[in-house]
Amino acid sequence: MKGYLGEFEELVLLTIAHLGEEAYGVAILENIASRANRTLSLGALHSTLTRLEEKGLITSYLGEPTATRGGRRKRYFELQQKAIISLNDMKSLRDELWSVSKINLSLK
Amino acid sequence: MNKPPQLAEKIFTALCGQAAVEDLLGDLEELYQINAVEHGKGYAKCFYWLQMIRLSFSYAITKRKKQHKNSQPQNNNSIAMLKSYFKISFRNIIKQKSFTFLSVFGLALGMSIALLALTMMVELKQFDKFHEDSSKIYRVTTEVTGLESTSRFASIPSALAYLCDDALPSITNKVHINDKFFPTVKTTGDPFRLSGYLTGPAFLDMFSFPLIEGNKSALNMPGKVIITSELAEKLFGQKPAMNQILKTENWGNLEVAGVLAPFPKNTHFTFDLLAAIPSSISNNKKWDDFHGNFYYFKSDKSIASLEKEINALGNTGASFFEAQNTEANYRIQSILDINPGPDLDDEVGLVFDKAGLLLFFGTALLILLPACINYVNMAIASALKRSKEIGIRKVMGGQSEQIIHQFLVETILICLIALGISTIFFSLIRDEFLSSLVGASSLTFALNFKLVFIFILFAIGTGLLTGLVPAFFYARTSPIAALRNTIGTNKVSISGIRKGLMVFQFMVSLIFMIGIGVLVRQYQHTLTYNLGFHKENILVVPIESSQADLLRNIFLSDPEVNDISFSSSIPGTPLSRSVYFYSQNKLDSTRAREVFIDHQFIDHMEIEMVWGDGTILTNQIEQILVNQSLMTKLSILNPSKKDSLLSQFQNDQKVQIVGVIKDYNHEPLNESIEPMVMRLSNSGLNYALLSITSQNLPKTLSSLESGWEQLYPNQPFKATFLDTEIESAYEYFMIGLKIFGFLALLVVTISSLGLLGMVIYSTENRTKEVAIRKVLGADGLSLLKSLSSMFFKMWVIALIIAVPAAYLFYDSVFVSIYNKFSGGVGFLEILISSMLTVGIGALAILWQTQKIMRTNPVHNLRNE
Repeated sequence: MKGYLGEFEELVLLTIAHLGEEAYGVAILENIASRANRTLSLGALHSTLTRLEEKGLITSYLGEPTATRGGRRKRYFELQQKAIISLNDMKSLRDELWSVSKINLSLK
Repeated sequence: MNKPPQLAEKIFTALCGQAAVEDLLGDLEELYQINAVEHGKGYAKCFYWLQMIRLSFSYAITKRKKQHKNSQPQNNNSIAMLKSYFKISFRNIIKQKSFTFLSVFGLALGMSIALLALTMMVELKQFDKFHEDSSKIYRVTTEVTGLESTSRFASIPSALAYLCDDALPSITNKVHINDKFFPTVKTTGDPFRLSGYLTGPAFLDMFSFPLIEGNKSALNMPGKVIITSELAEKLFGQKPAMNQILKTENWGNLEVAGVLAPFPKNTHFTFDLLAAIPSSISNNKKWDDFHGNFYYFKSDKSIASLEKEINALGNTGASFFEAQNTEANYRIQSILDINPGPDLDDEVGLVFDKAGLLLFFGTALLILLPACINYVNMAIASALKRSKEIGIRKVMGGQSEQIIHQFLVETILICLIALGISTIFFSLIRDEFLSSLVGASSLTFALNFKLVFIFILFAIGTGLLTGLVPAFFYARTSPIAALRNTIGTNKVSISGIRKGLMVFQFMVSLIFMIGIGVLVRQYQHTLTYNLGFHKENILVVPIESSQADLLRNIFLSDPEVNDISFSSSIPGTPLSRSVYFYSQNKLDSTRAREVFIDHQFIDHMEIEMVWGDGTILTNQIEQILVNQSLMTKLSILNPSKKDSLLSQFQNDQKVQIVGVIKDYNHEPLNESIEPMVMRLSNSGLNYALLSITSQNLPKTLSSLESGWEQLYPNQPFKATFLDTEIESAYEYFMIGLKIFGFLALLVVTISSLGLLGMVIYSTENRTKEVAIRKVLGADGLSLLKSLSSMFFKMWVIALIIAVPAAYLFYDSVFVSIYNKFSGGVGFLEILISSMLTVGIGALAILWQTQKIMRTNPVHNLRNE
């Protein structure tokens, strides 16, 4: 199976997609925390981001210095084409599984 | 606005090192601000710490660190950087000539002693390696644990040794050695005492001592000996030694049945001759008495399993030790671990123990340390000259690692140059050192490849450790401070650590100098001390014992000989003979030093008597003289006896005390006054003591010699003065003085060099200040005061610490061991030594300060 994505990796990638131009460490962290209602550490997040970058799914660049962060720059993350393909693969796999389910998965 | 915890931030940056973590720090701070608003400051701080720690160990940081490392530029062209380090080091060394000279010279002096210690270590490691299969040769040692103490012996119970022979199949070769074999060959003067081993033919099988003549089977035959080639030459010269007879006092006639080829000296065995173990010893298998019994064997098994087997055998004898409330354990020691090895009791031959060697290394370090301190001090003090270089390096992107490398390379280079000079010192002092070392004949101290390699490693190690301090000092400076010439604070004063280092140096040199003073005084004391007998104008002539009466008449016929007496030993030199006095029931005994004399001895030497007039008559019961300490011992030994003047020796021989001698130092002053007995004898007299009044000494000597030649045409006439003989008994003092003097010279030279360096830098940095002071009208004295007060203050501190320490050390440890009859350390020698040390330093200070004081202030103020 090519381009395997972990559950958390998928979550991070989709959050980056959601944040668009504003996807940097703390923003991603807060977003996941509020949306998925789970606490996670900065270390865990950055480890995942580093792995995603290694796999060539995302790239990063440094922004301008900001006063709120003690004059330090933010590192922004961007999705690559490869990531979009992987996300699509995951989604179609899921959809397919949903559609062939013999048990009624609907909650209603 | 709130600041996140600074400590956490610092730890984090330190942990990450050079990796790029700016964005992570930003993220952390942003989270902190959010939390501070939502949950309060305390929570935010805790959260920050927690996040920081988790982040530090996360994969993100690991990865970034790796990335940073791979992007280092110097990894790609390290050869080029190394070349540049060397080039710049060379330029600096050449540019700062005085600095280089002072530090190289100091380091070279300091290293020379360390080189001696290293050489000794390396040579000792080679000991006994020349034996075939030396790694498989072991010996058994005994550890006797008593109630209070444990003692370790190199010997084992003879019963165990013979048990091992039969019961241990795993040992392939075994040798019994008994070293209580001291045949005494009669010659003129002191009888010639040889030392040898009683052993078997297996000795020559196991150890590589080849024979040139004879057969090893001689070691099975009583009355036959195998001698070393040195002894053969000493006794027989060029004549063939085989089948010659050695007439000995205590072992009868011994026939030479073999001669060993000259063998390497680096073995712990020291013997002149070998003989078979007499049956009286081999039949005497005991558990409790094992002194002098050594057991060597060869085995392929491991030490642990051998120890197990031997201890199992040793259990058969446990009851003998239990009877004395002790317990014996047996250990296996490889022959290669004997030198340098543990300090065992009852050791065979020559062993340099580890503790002594460690002490030697300690001294060597104590000498080297001040030299290293000098280098560090001067390297940091020269910051002014180097700061531009450092600043530009940093601005051009030089990493602090690269600056550290630069300084390490420089220091190592200086140490290697110092090593070159030090080897010259080393070869100069080597022979002197060897001549003062006991057992030095087995050490060669020759340079070889391995040794040179070790020397170079040592120099590089010294350079690395020494260079670390200045390297880190410079690596830490900020480029702006470096370029503005403000590294550290303005170099008017010297920082606290360096002051401490200098005080330490002063202290070491003071302690050594005071040591010299103490030694000189003690030496003088020993020579002027009244020993208790007459020692002026007495000539000592070694004679063949039992010829005394003949010689008396010949010598007395000479008009310049006033008086003559004979003795078995020279008064004022160590005594070797002793005899035991027994109590009536023979259960108790006391030992006494034994001196044989003739009738005139007491009168002639002007020895003071407490009781009796010193005349001894030849009676049926032997009459003897004893000294006061022996009298006390004897009265304890025979308390209830009616006639307290009668006593007995071992073989029931009765003796009668006819005089008590006042205690006097018959032996050198480092020995306490031992119980001593003087016996009349004709056969035991080895020395003639002649009182002479001579106007023309050579003429008197030649006339005495012609008298001697009538009696002994073949033997040379040897005569020395008694006070010269006594002086030579204190030779160890002279040796100590020489060694100590040399060490002190080194330490004082090194610390003076360091002081000179510091004074040069501190005055050079203050030229402008001095010029302004002069312009404003300061006179010479006040300038001198302001320039040198700092150094004098350090001296005062050093004096306050070092003088009491030195006094305590020399007075309690040193003097009480080596010179029991002196009055201890005096005030005078401490004062003179301290003044001398301070004086040498003061000269260095004055020399430099007057140089700067005499310059015209205009020259120093013109350029601004």
